[in-house]
Amino acid sequence: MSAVPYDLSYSMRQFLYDRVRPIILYALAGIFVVWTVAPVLWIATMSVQPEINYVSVPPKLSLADVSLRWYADMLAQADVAAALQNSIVIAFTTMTLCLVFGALAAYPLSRLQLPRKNWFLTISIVSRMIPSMVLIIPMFLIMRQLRLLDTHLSLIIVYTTFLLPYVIWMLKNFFDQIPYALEAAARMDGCTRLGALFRVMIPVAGPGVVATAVFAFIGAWNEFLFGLILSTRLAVPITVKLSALVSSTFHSDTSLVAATGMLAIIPVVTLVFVLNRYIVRGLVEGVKY
Amino acid sequence: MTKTPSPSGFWQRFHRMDESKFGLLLTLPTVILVLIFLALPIAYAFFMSLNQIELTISPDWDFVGVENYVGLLSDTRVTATIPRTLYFAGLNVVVTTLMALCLALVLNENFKGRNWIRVFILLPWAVAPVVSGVMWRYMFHQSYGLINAILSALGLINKYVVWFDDPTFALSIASFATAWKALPFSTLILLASMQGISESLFRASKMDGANIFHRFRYVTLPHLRPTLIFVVVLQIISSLQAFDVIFTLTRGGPGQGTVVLNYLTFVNAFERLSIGNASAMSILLALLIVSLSGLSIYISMGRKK
Repeated sequence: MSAVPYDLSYSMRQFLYDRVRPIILYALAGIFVVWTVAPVLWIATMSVQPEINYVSVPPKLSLADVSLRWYADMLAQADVAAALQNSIVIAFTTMTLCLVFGALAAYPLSRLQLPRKNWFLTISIVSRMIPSMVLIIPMFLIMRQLRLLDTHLSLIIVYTTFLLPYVIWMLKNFFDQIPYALEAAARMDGCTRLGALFRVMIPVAGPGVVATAVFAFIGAWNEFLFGLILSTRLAVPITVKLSALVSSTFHSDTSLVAATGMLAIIPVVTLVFVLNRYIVRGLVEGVKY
Repeated sequence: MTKTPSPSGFWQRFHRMDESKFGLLLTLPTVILVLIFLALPIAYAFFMSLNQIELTISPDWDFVGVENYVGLLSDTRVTATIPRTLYFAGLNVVVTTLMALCLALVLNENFKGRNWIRVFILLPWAVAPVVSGVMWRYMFHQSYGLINAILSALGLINKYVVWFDDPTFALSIASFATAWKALPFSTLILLASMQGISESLFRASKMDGANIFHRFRYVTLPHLRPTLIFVVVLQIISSLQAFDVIFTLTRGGPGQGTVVLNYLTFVNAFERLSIGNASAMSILLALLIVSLSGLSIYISMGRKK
């Protein structure tokens, strides 16, 4: 590394650090926040304004026109309300199953002697890589055979299977960080192995378990391809409902579509804002091999 | 703590079971699910890829061996998606990686409000790809797009541009929408890696008279290299799997302008009902993705050291 001569006086460097550095940092941070927030803010604006306001050139947005009636209209529509309800049921059940099955599988992978443990670990990594497009046609045929098309159960099964490898991996990484002594102490006190998992490992890994749960919930909520193919009428999740609204020529009011888009993200965005600390850690943990 | 339950046969045997059997029992629910709903469908898809199945013509399956795979090479619809997919992936990789690197450098600095910004930039990660497609469609819409409104307010355009009529614009916007969604995750893993650089390296380089650019070039960048490669490979993989965003953004249009590889697989399967052909495409895609993922994991194993 070549040495750089100090050509700046001390006060000049101090000036750069105190005055210029914050300007650059805030300018860059500002650009990134705008990039991140603008698309969401625009659809949010559209969802509370009558269409005529943003269709006119230039857009005439007015605070006086702000109204939540497009949300009310959409929620009053039986199919949209049902889609939201479907998404809640599917995502919540998937999350629960993922946590239970995931914890059961992650525990022996992290703690116990398991024959061919490396096989399990490799398979769980490889299953994460399988693109959903390769599964979708056979899954449709299998679900048709099982007479499960257009049911919550079919989507719950698919999402759980798809998310489990991630969930197991995250939980295993969290369990690995728990000192062995904690569990040994519990076992000494007469706690069973399952007891050690549910009374020691899971509570101690608490924040990690929360992160994993949120990850599974969001994964199930946001899924689209399987929802599109496996549901037709009764089990349609909100992502599929939204895509149908966007491409349909029947609706006359874009504000309704924008409001539906907002309804589709409000639950998950709220989760992320409330639990962001856990999520950041969980995400980083999920890609540690 | 609970005592071992009274010696009713089943529970007693359950609690005394030896460790490896007990471990296998716990993984059983997952193993069953994975076998039935992951391994079986893959085998099924592979089997279908060896048959000619044109449901628009007849419900019959004709075993044709590898003919579907060979046919892909000469299928102009398939070969036409390759430059599109490459352009889409390339733009996505460049935009995501550069932005994530820059944002991670900013967030690695100490300044007031940093934690708030960290929360805000997480937003796209939570948004479903389908919704992000809708959002970017409305950002660039020909009659109510924010971009058109801003550009004409600045006097850069005279009348609103129909962005989605131009295949290059449409494909670029699809790529931006994907990059927008990928930014938080890429930033977070770069940031995590940056925070692993020991402070003493920076201090030592400062002593040697290195300025901020030298420090970035000779300390930060070499440390980040494996993570950067990881981010690049991850974006290539996600570009190969692009579907949701395009479905709500352009539906493949204008014409075939935004039909990338994965999207064509969907069209062939569910619009043309060429099941054998679509299965062959999806199997090839899966092989490509699995090998790329293997590469990315190999890289991140190295990252640990």
